[in-house]
Amino acid sequence: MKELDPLLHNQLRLSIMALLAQNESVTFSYIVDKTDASRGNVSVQLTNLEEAGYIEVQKKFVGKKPQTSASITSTGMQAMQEYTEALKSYLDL
Amino acid sequence: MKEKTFNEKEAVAVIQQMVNAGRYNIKQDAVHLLVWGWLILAACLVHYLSYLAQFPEGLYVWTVVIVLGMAASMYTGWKQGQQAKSQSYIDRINRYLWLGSLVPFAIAIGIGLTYDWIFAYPVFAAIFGWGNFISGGLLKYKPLVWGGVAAWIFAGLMLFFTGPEILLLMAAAIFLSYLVPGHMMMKQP
Repeated sequence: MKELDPLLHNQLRLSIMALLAQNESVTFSYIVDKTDASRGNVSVQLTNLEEAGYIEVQKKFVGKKPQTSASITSTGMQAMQEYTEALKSYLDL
Repeated sequence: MKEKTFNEKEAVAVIQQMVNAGRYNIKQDAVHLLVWGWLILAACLVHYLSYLAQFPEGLYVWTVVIVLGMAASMYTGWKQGQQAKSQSYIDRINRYLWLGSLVPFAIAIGIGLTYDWIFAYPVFAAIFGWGNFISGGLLKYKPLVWGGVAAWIFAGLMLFFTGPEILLLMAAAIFLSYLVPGHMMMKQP
């Protein structure tokens, strides 16, 4: 049986990766809104995922407001595919 | 959402929940369809009535419509971009699809200016039918796909006409291709 990636096998990190896998990029506030997690927790998990090379974080200004957004990398996409394959084997799908 | 470890079934549920939460909002595309749909429909009818009234300046309604439509599309696109919290792959493909169609549209205008507008109308209908067919496929929204097919059918029918009635065919094409799917999309939950 394939091993589940411990970095992805976490409710909030998996939620973030699932959101990023279906979008080209999403803003920090979008992630907070959709996951219902605290801003601090989202920030920590984004850093963890970025350090693993699964996502890229961009900071820019929209008008005069700073905006943080994130996008999934090809490494992250590959990790998600392997994770879902492993999940299937655990669940006999 | 608290951080916690969880089992495999919960992992599947989390992925499903996020897929549902991140579902593409189809209404943002409906706005563009409705703006262009109503403008072009109005232009077709004004131009047709001006033919009947033997008022050749009626042709200039198209200039007004193109300027208004471009301004409305640019403003709406800018506004949606400012408010957008996510950028989906569909957004980008759709943007390039319609930006790319500006060149064929410009060539169709060139055909109208150089030769005769009766040659241009079927090309216009074929281009927007093609755009809606692809957009509908991307959005997995069948009424838009069928709207694109309807525009192609009317583009074909236009080849058999050389008079002002071609404008009524164009109006029917835009009604079925833009307005019907556009209003249906706006009613989506």
